[in-house]
Amino acid sequence: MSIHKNGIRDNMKLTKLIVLFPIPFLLAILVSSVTADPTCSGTGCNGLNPNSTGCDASATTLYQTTNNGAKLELRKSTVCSTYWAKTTNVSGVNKYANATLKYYYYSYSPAPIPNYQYVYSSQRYGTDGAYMNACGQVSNSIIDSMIYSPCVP
Amino acid sequence: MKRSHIPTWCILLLLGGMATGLVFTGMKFVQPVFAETSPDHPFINLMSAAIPAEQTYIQTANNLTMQASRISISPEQAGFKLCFQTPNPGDWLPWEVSLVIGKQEIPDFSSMTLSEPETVNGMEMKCHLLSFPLSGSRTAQDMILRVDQIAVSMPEYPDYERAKQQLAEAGVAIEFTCKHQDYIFGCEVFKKPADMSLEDAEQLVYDAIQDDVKGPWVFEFQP
Repeated sequence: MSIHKNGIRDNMKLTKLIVLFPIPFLLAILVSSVTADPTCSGTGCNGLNPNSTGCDASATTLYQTTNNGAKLELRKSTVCSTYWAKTTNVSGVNKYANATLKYYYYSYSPAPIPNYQYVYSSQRYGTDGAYMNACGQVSNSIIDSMIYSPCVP
Repeated sequence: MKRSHIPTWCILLLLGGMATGLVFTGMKFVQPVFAETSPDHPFINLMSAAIPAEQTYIQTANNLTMQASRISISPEQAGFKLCFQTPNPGDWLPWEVSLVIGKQEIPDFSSMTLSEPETVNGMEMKCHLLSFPLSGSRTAQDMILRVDQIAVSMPEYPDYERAKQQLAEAGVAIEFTCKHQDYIFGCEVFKKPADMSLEDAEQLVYDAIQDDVKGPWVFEFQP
């Protein structure tokens, strides 16, 4: 009799266990969906868009400068350890713009962009930010190549 | 010896379930830590050539205190260390800054964010090194450093719908649309009050999008 009772109890425990087993799994899914992790890491982020990869969610501006109607920024993602350049047109009139992460990537506007609009480059992974320079310009003509001046830092 | 109610294999099964779940969802147990090492930059010279921090200047505007110190002048540039309180933990930057030296206004400037916050007069402040390009030889003259605005850097794809709501709630009759495509972000005003210039309307839109505090904080330096 007692053997039979123990058997029933064991079966109930097993049923509970089967029911409870997926709970940690579901909790883990919930936690991971709330925290939107970047979709890349390390050198796997090289050449990718900091916004579409989610790296820009933790972005800060390390350096900035204003020069001839352009505001240049060197941006860093603290989570992805990546860097990119950003150029904002602050000239007051429509201009072509270029943002270059020196030696690596550049983006440019194919048409003049209005005041306060900005263009940013692809990102590059770096462990300590050494040799990362943001260069950029705004101009009356298209700048469809990498530029090397002015830059920050 | 008293036996545990839960068999060991049950505990192992539960732990296994959790681990499998975490692995499948790609959860990271440790976030990568970034070493805050400053790269080489022109500000290094400014830092070493700066006047020791005995002389400091403090101004308060909009309930935020700002301190200027370590003023340095060379034939090429004028430098300052600027520290200020911030309303929240964002990456607050000196956004609109100008220097008047003699009778000349220099609107272009560069800044470098110092990674560690500092405590000034018991207040935690975020610090930056500022530099202004100078041309020609300079003699000691009165200088005015004017900080009109501090701001959090603009995200690559900001929440502009919230800005629309803010402007509407403030009764500002501006309508605009924003576009983020191919590494470019910008907004276009398509409706504004007749007596408002397009520049002013655009300024209001970006002010609404960006988290900022306006001053001015004005520092006057005399040799």
